[in-house]
Amino acid sequence: MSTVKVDTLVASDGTSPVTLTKQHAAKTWTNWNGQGTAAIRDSFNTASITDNGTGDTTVTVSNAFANADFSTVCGRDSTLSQTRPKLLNMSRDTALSTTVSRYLSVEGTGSSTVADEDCEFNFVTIHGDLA
Amino acid sequence: MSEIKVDTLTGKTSATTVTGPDLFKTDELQGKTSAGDITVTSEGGAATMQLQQGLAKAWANFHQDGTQSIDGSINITSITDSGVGESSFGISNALSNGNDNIPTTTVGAGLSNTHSVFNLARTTVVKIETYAGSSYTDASEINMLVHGDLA
Repeated sequence: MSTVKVDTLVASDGTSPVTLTKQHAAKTWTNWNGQGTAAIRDSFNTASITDNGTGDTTVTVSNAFANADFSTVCGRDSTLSQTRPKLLNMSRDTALSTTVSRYLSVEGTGSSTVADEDCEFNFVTIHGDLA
Repeated sequence: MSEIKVDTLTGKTSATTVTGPDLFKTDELQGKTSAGDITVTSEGGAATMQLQQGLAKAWANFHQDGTQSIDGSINITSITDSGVGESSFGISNALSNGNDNIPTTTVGAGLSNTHSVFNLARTTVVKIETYAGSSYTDASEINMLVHGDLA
């Protein structure tokens, strides 16, 4: 096997991004604890999170996206301390800008009984073009 | 075909910069200063970021109905049926801690309010649960994505 050791990869013009053939890296991901004082557990390209209220969190990325048409996938835990199973969801509410997005986490005991919830594990991953 | 055999390349104008061809073929890339740290430039050129942190460290497309099994994956060694709507995965190359980012998406044709959530993460095990409304269910397709640090 041949191995190339390098610290920085750029296109051969010296400035453009390098092409990873048929591969696309995520541009940011964030794992945060929404219970108590909301806090980032681990992250990549995330500047900060803001606790806007129960189940309501704003995440700010460090390096801005080129536009707000990025692709977001979200997830959450099953809240181990509570009686399970139940209706659970975490989703992006809106992209407020190329750096800031708002996320909502909800729980319920059925499709007609849903409330905002601070859950322990919240996940967001975004793919798209950076500025 | 011409061939150059060399152990170390040093830039002529700048010792740390070597310009190569448009297409460079190799089997493995490593960071020079730190093996797990390679910097890449953003699409717009305004930022640089670490390549490794953006790469998914594991993913799985699996089903729970019938006999649970993995339909496609990377860095997943096994799936275990832990009960209705419950699946546990073995990770081939261990993660460095339990702080990984693990969103899931459920494709539940015909099932009402089907959704999957993370239940547990250890360095070599990840557990996913699936509900239809407020009851456990076995879904026909679930997608799981893992970002974080490998050990």
